[in-house]
Order: sequence, then structure tokens, then C-alpha cells
Amino acid sequence: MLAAAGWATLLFLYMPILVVLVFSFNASQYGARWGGFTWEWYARLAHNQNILRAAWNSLLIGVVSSALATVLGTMAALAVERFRWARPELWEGFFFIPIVVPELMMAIGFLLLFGVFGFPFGLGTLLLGHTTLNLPIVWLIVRARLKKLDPRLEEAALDLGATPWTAFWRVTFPLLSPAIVGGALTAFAISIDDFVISFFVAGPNSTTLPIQIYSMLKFSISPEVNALSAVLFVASMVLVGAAHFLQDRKEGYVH
Amino acid sequence: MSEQATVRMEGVGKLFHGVQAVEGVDLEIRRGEFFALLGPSGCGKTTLLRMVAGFEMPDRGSIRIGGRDMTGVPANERPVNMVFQQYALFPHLSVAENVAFGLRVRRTPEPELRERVAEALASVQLAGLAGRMPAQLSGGQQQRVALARALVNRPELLLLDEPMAALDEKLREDMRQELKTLQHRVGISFLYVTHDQQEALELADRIAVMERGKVVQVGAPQEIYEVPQTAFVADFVGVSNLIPGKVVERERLLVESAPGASRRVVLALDGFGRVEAVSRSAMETGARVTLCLRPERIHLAASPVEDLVNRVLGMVERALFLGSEIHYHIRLKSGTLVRVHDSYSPLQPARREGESVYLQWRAEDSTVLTR
Ligand SMILES: Nc1ncnc2c1ncn2[C@@H]1O[C@H](COP(=O)(O)OP(=O)(O)OP(=O)(O)O)[C@@H](O)[C@H]1O
Ligand SMILES: [Mg+2]
Repeated sequence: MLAAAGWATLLFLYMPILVVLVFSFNASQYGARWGGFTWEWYARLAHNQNILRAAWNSLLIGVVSSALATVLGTMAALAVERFRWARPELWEGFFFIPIVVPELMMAIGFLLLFGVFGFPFGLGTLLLGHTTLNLPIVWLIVRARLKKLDPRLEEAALDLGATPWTAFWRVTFPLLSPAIVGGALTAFAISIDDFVISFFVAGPNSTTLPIQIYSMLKFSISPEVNALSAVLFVASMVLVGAAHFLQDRKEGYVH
Repeated sequence: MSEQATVRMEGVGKLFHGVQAVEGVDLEIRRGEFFALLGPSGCGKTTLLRMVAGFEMPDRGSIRIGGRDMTGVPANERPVNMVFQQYALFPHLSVAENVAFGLRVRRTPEPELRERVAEALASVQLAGLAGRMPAQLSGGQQQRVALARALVNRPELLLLDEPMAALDEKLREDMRQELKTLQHRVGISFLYVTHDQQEALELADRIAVMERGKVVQVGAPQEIYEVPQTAFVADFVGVSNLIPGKVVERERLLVESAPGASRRVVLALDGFGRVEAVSRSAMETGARVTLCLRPERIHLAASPVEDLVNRVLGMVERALFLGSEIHYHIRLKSGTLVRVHDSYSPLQPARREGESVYLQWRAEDSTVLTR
């Protein structure tokens, strides 16, 4: 019984994904009929200027915002640990809340904020929005790893004559790097398929892929959209898989 | 001033959120000495060690290492190295790179570095494991790496925080011997923290016994064992019968000899009656004292022996056979329980449970404690 329920749940979870993947190879343009296998929609993607521009924007925003979030999030995680800030659980709460706050609320907040300050909507606002979205996630991942690191390792490095700076780069950073890279990849994956915030803060010339898909859907569900979604899906899976792999791989190093 | 001391602590104190972890510690560790800090859990041993290493700053007092005041000197500039309790080996570096760490951060030229790492690894019998990662080593091997990693820097003082705690009994015994040999060979002062009195007695040239943040006695192992100065030390180091009582009679000076005069005193001990003892300090009649009587100093016999002045009759309640020794629990008529350790030999039958025996000892076999 339970096993059957489990399989049913899994099927339910993965049906939408499967449908999109299958229909991205469907030769028939309209409706839900199967018209044979084709690569055509993928080929068309590669020639659609709007999509290519949106893809470029997504990539740019993804790389820059996840890089920014990684640097800031890592520094914030280190600060809480290093300076033994009072009530670390309070800080954990502060960094965690943005993750569970409805994204719509964040998006509206950004809209108001940028409006108030007269920020022109475009790549800049997208970048700020995505960095804010990603920062707490990187913070959480790095902090989790940092909490498991034995503080004596850094003390041992100091004891052996390393300056605090050297001790950080030779001991703490290498041991933290799987979490940092994992955090960066997760951030990138989140940024790449973020819709809500992007929709609110993007300008007319800074369309990202999810927004592009949405605007294409307004007319009809074209197989091209299926193909694009499939590409995004595979890219995200690769990133998340890599992030997981990196975080697990060096677990043995942690005491 | 020629500095004979590697470390000199004066009035060192440390307060943690209202907890006095270390208080008024004065200690001197001599050059080439194996010095043990002995005390129960939570008495401040680690805190004191961390202040010497530079990980904690004392609130009071000063620490000098090699004649230099360490106030304000960060850990990485102190001429000491530490072997951490769980070793704290760098998990991402090989055994050789762990050992090379201190030399690398000091930019030692590569040929010299290689030579010294190889030498350090050989000195702890790890020459074949240079390429392994710490996770691939046994506990004993990890400890050797930690030792090599510290000693390769040729510190003036090596700090060891309960380095044997994570090892099993058999390995611990082997490592003790090895550590002692190693210390003799390198001639570096060791400051060794432990809560294991056996370990301290066996390894150390001198021991400082700590109780609740304070050093209560400093001395050679024999001195600590034979002449404990407080009931705490007598109880913590080895096994003792601690019997409360008071002074009923004090006699004239008995012997005049170093370290101080000895006087014969007569005590009335709770549950024992009149007992003769020797005291090194002057005592008033009526003063409350505690007599420390080591279990192995008590002679058991079926009938009285002439030259053993103290004598009390008891009954064997329990006899524990421990191989080379037998430990007895003996109940006196008064109800007091006394522990007696006797060596075992097959030629001499052990006392049986229920048997009546005389417990006898000389006045010199006990120590009178005023605290
Ligand atoms: N960082 C700290 N913050 C607050 N209190 C501390 C800190 N370090 C130690 N203490 C307290 O100081 C006292 C002495 O601790 P310390 O670790 O020096 O004892 P120890 O003798 O090494 O004990 P053990 O044998 O258990 O290792 C204890 O009461 C401990 O709780
Ligand atoms: Mg300790």
C-alpha cells in the first residue's frame, strides 16, 4: 500500500516534467497529439534572437548575482562565526526569514524601493534583486559547513606560526570551499529560473529566460517553449547535482 | 640574569563570565623539564595551557617564556607548539604537509624543509606514511603526526593537552614510554596536561596539582605521593585512607633534618583511637587534622608485630585479587572502612573474607594533613 502511494506521489511529482520533456520533441505543432520525434524546436531556439538575448541576460545576471551573493554570504557567515556574535541563533533567524518570506512580497518591496529612489529598471535592478534573493541561501550553506568545522584547526595553524590571514587561506578556506562552490551553484540555479522577482524588477530591455517563456506563452503553447524549458531544466539539474556532489564529497574532512 | 626557566607564570588568573577558571597561579617550568599539570575535570588545566599558547589572554598576572614577557604576543609569534587533545590535524593535507605546515608558513627553504620533515616523521616512526591523509590513520598514528608537526618547529616548550585521552589502554602505555624517550632525546620542555594521576606520576619530572583553578601543590612525583599537603592531593593522587581526628599530645622535636623538623604527635582518630604519627609542622593540641594513610603502608598480620607502633584490629570484608596485588576492604569494630593493598605471592596465602587481622604501621608511614 505505502509503496504504491509512494510511487504514485513520485509519478505525480514528475509527470509535468516528463510531459514537457516529451513534448519538446513532438513534431506536431498544435494540440496534445504526438506527431513523431523531432529536434526542430531546439534548432529554432538557437536562431530566435529574443530568446538568445534573454538567455544572455539570464546567464549574466546569474553569474554576477551568484558571485556577489557568494562573496557577501560567505563573509557574513564568517563574521558571525569569527566574532562570536551574541545570540547566533538570532542571526540565523534573520538570514533564514528572507528565504521563507513570500517572494511576491519581496518583489513588490523591490518595486516600491526602486521606484522611490528612482532607479531605472533594467539589468542593475535585476542584479540587486537576484543578489538579495541568493544571499541568504549562500549564507545558510556556508554557515552549516562552518559550524561543523573544528575551531581548533585554525588555532593549530596559528600555533604553528601562521598569521590569521594565512591560517584562513591555508586551512579554513580549503575546508570551506565545497560549501562555497555548492552555495554559488545553488545560487546560480535559483537565479536562472527565478520568475517572480525578475518579472517585477526587469526593464524592457532586460528580459530573462523565464520572462521570455512567459511572454511566449501568452500567445500559445509553442513546442519551442517546451524545448526552452527542457534546456533550463537540464541546466538546473546539472548545477544542483554538482552543488550536491561538492558538498558531500569532502564530508570526511569535517570533524 | 641567566634564565633557567622556560616558562614563568606569576599570579595568572582568568575569569570566564563570572567563572574563575584559573586563579593566582605561580609556576616555573625549568629548561628540559617534563612538567605535568594534574587535576580533575574542569579545574582549569586547559585554560592555563591555552594562556601559555596565546589562545586566551590572562586577566591577571604575567607569563614569561624564555625570559620574554608574553603579554600581547599573539599565538603565532610564541616559541611554543601544541599537541591538541583531538590532535586537530589538517584533514585536507597529507601527513607530510601537516608536518611541513609550520616550516612552510615560516618560509623555510625547500631542501631544509624536506630534510626536517623526514627527520621529524622518522623520530615518531612514521617515515612510511608521509603520503597518507589523516583520515587514513589510526588514533595512535594521528597522535604521532601531531607530535611531529609540533616538534619539527623546535619550540622552546611543547604543550600537550591530554594527548592520550583518545587512545586505548594498551596503546596509552606504549605511547607513554615513547613520549618519555622522545622528550629526553629532543631536550625540549614539556608542559603536559592530564587528569590521570598514574600518567603524571610515571612521566613527569615535576607535577603541579590543580584544584578549582588554583595550584595546590608542586613537587616531584614521589614528593606529591608521599607528602601530600592537602586532603585533596592525597585523595586525588593515588589511593588514601583519609581519617579525621585531632591532636591530643605533641612531643619534643624528634629529628632535625631537611626539609624541616619532624615531631612525633599523638592523634585521636575517629574510629581508630590513639595513633602515633610524625608531623613536619608545629601543631597545637586539640587542632583538627586529617591523617593520610596509604593502603600499601599498612601491614596485615594475624598477631601483633613488635616494632609497628600503631595497631588496630579489623575484619576482612572483601578481598579483590588483581594479579600482582590484592586489595582488601577491612572493617574496624567502630564501623570505619580501611583500604589495604598487599602484594600477592602464591607462597603467602591471601587473607580470607571474614578473617580477623591486625592492621599495623609505623608513625613515619602516615602524613598529617592540616588542610
Ligand atoms: N571559553 C570558555 N567560556 C566559558 N567558560 C569556560 C571557557 N573555557 C573554560 N571555561 C570554564 O572554565 C573552567 C575550567 O575549564 P578548563 O577547560 O580549563 O578545565 P580542564 O581542567 O581542562 O577540564 P577537563 O579535564 O575537563 O578538560 C570550567 O569551569 C569551564 O567551564
Ligand atoms: Mg581540558
